[in-house]
Amino acid sequence: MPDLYAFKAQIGMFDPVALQDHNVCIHYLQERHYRQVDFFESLPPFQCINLGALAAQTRGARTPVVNLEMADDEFALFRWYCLDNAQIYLFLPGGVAKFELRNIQIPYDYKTLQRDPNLVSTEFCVWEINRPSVEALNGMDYALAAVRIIAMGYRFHTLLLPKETVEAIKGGREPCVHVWASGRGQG
Amino acid sequence: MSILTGYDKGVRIPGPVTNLAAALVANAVVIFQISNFAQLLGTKSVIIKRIKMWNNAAGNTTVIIGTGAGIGFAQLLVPLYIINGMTDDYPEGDIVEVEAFLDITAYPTALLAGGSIDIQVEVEEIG
Repeated sequence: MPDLYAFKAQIGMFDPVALQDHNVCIHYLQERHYRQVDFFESLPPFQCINLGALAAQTRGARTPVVNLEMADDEFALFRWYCLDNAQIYLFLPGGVAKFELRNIQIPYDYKTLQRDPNLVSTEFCVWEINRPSVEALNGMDYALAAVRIIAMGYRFHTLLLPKETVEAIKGGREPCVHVWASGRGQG
Repeated sequence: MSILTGYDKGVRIPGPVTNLAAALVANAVVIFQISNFAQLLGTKSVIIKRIKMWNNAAGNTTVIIGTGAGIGFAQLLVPLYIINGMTDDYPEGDIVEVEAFLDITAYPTALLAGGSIDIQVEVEEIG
């Protein structure tokens, strides 16, 4: 069994969370989707959105990142960073804050890539068309001409698991990788 | 113009040799065209990394580099002085790193009759 799990730190491009025929449990809000991977491929780093110009000391509107949405029965594992000097707040789905503490929501910061070169802390999954969204904050005294986000990762196509296999996973008799495809409210 | 985080290392590309044959901002010409193909994924921007100029009997003058032309011209760098008959080379360390999201344009502030300036830039394209 390969050593695969979410939030894995390593040198270079990161590992997928599962391989062909592996079991996964995709957590989306309070739902759990037990699936089996029947296809996966890598997603090279690409510019998934340009939020456009942002005036000094301004927080932009929440914007869906439609280029990160997935087709039916598919989920993706992403890590990401921002090319431009903005703080990025992630929402997954659009109404639920990601990277949430009791008193603050932590944004991606222009120093994140330096402090976390593997981008482990930026990792998230998107289950089907579940509206990842971002807000950009320009806290500086100068305007930004663009706010461009680069994402990379893996795409997984999955099949439903038989009920017996799901029960075996819940009973600890079958291996399964758990991934989280949403934020979560407190409580 | 934007601020560079240092995580956006790009591709170094030379621009074409462009002749500046007319003075004043209304005659600013494109010296580097930014990638804008509609099917290209992502917004590109460029940072000028090197400027080479040849003053062909244009007299001592200055060249202004920016984006746009006429009243839409936005200056990116301070005026660069160029001496009659000389070649000027402004390498990376001599240029303030400013980022442009539009085609780079340039114009001389004055020219002697019959003279012109050849200019070529090397840019780093990012995005």
